[in-house]
Amino acid sequence: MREELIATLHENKVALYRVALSYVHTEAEALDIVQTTAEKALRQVNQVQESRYLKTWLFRILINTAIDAQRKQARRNEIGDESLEFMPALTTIAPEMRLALNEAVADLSDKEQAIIRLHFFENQTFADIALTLELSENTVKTTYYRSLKKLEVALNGGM
Amino acid sequence: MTLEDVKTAYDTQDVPMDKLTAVIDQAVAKTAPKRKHLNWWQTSLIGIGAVAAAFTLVLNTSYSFASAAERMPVVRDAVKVLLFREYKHVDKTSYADIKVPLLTNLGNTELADKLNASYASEGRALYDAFMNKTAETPKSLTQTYQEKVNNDQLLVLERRQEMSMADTATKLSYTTIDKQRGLVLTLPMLFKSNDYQTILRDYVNKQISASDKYDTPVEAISKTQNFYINSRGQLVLIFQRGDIAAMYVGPVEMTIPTNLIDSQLVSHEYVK
Repeated sequence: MREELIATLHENKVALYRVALSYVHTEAEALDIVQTTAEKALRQVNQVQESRYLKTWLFRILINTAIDAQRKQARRNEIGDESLEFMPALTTIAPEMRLALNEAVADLSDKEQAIIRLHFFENQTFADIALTLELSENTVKTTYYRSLKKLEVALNGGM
Repeated sequence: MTLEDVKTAYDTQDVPMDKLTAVIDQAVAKTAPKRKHLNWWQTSLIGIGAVAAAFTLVLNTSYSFASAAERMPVVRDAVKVLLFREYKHVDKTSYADIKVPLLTNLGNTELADKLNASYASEGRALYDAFMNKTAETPKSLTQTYQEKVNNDQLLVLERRQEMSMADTATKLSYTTIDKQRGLVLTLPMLFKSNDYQTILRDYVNKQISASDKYDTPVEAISKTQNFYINSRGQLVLIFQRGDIAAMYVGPVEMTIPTNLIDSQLVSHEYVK
């Protein structure tokens, strides 16, 4: 299983990196998250029974690690969880758009955010995301459309 | 700007593939299962490896061991320019990495000791000056060295100091050593009379005015002008960054055609 996991890590490294970066400010922090995730996964790989679950399991570890890292960083900078930034590393976004986006995302829970990141940005299937987040596929779908709506409304309001 | 634009920004961001592959490989290496049993020959290989590693370490860190090793017959041939000491310092605002070379197997031990002592004290002084921070202290300082030429006759050791503050500066120093006679070459000893200074100056200035890369003519070529002799036996003069050309050009190497100085040379032993 270890060999399969190493292959899965390499196949998904770009997605892993981009999702990690969407939680933090810098390349270095994102690489840290990917490395920590890879280490955790490799150490606990015997918990996975079937190799088809490796990818979703990997993303579950990644998202938990990323949220931890984001919270830790927020505590260091003494800012509350509610003002965490969404995809701070995307510097090409105009400032007013950035404000609106942060405000809109602040209303979303961790799970809702994760669904947006994985489906809207990474094009993962609802079925995969359901496995990653341990939700039913239907819940993922309805949550996705509801969250996306919220974002669009917030963004158009902010224009 | 809409959510689609954010998605485009997301899709087009740079991904540092090399670093990414490296962190995954690191994680893989870190969690690699431990080997259980080693055969006797594997254990002894590790033993031999450890001895070799310790040997290299001592050779590179201890001056007295390196100079003792030089006298051992088997080790002798393997030893040439070694890393004697590396001064390293890193903090939030500054960085220093000063490598001090050690010459061995020179034949003339007295000369080697003299040069090594001067390299060592120069390295030490650089480091002390760096650590004793003043407004003029550069933000980063590195010294590296390389064997520019190493053939049967000559060894040319180049030392390169790079420092940066608001601007960067590079200082090159060369030591050209006759390995067979065990002596350091100087510019005056290559020539019969002092006329070479005028000839070299005129040649250099001709080059400077002929090329738009260079802008400042030299007033004179001093006896301590930086130079070395390259592997084809040509005399090469070194001008520090900013001396004869704009700073961005960097240090300039000027190779002197041998026929120009042919009549002035004491012999064709070094310059051919």
